[in-house]
Amino acid sequence: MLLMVLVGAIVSSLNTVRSDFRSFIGTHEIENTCELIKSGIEKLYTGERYNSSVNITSRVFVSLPERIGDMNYRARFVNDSAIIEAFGPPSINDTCRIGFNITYRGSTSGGRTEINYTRFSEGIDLIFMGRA
Amino acid sequence: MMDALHNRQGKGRKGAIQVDFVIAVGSFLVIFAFLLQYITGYYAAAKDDIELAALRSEALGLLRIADQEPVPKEWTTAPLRLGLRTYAYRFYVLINNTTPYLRNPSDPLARIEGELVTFNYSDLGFPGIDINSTVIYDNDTVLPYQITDTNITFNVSVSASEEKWIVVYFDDNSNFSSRSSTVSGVNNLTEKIFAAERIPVLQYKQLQRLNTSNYTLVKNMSDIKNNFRIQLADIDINQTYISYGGAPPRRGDVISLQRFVVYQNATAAVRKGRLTVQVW
Repeated sequence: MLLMVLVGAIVSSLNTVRSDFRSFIGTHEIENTCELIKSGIEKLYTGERYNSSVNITSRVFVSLPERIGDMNYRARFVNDSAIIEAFGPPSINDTCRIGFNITYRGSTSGGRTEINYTRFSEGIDLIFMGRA
Repeated sequence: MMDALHNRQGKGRKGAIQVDFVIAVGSFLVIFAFLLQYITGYYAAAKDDIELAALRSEALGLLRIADQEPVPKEWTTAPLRLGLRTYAYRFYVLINNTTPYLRNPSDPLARIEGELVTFNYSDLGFPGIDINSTVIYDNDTVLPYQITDTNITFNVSVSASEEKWIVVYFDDNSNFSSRSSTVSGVNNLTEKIFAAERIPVLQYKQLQRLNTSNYTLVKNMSDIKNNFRIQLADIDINQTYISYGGAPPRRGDVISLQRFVVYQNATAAVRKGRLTVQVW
């Protein structure tokens, strides 16, 4: 009886430690991933000065982590922000603002990711993100 | 008698089993405590590493404000994206005191005191610029100039057979005050003006805007997760030009990154600077 209680307490405490650790690591890894996505977009975005009579497309490949905190995750755009969600337990998510006045589309589950930028001749900008 | 002996032996074995049990549980707890200590020690070290990596990536992001304009450009309370960069322009003027460049070829070659040079931005293809942002350099010396309508006139002394290169900087979206002053001289030479090139600088207007803004509002609106400080130092005079944000803590993890930049000061002068970003 004592042994069962002891083992139960040990398993429970180790699970708590693991979960807290995963949550902490996951939160910070999400911040890193966010900065990677932002820097990829900054490399592509030409700003409002550049006008072209034809559509211009450029792309960059970014190596995002395959997993965050040893959890699968997904990064997607919502308005002018990127939301990164790790599917736990524990579930962790964070939003980081990109800020540029661009239309954002697409999502990725990590790994080698392509970020594609298109400046249409009408002056509309589009960023598309997807797993390469 | 045999029964009593068996009873004593049975009780002895039971006692030995209990002692074994206590020793086993004790050993288990000791080993478990050691393992837990080892594992949590490793976890703590890994947590420190990941925290440093997150701080570093945010510091790198802040360092990139020298490469981008803010969003929106004319922000008032706080920007969605921090940025200090603008594009200024630079062109060179060649004053060549040799015979082919004399307006009157029969004049002898001699030192010219105050050779007048005049240019017009519209003629150079820049009709809508901030004329007061003009800065003219003769090596490291800033030359005074006169604004007449949309013409800029300055003078420079040049010795016989000397070739002098003057650098002119200007901006197209700044709002500097006029520093026009009267210049006089002679116009004996034909100068050569070269095409303007675009150069990235940290704009004075954006630096002032950042320096006078509310740190908390900027941090929240720009979605900056950690505390930070941005400092711009003038390399030539080794003085801090701008310091924005809180002071880093005396203890704890602080990531500090720096890069060299070119910035505009209050008189539109283009100066060499060092941008330092600290995040904690």
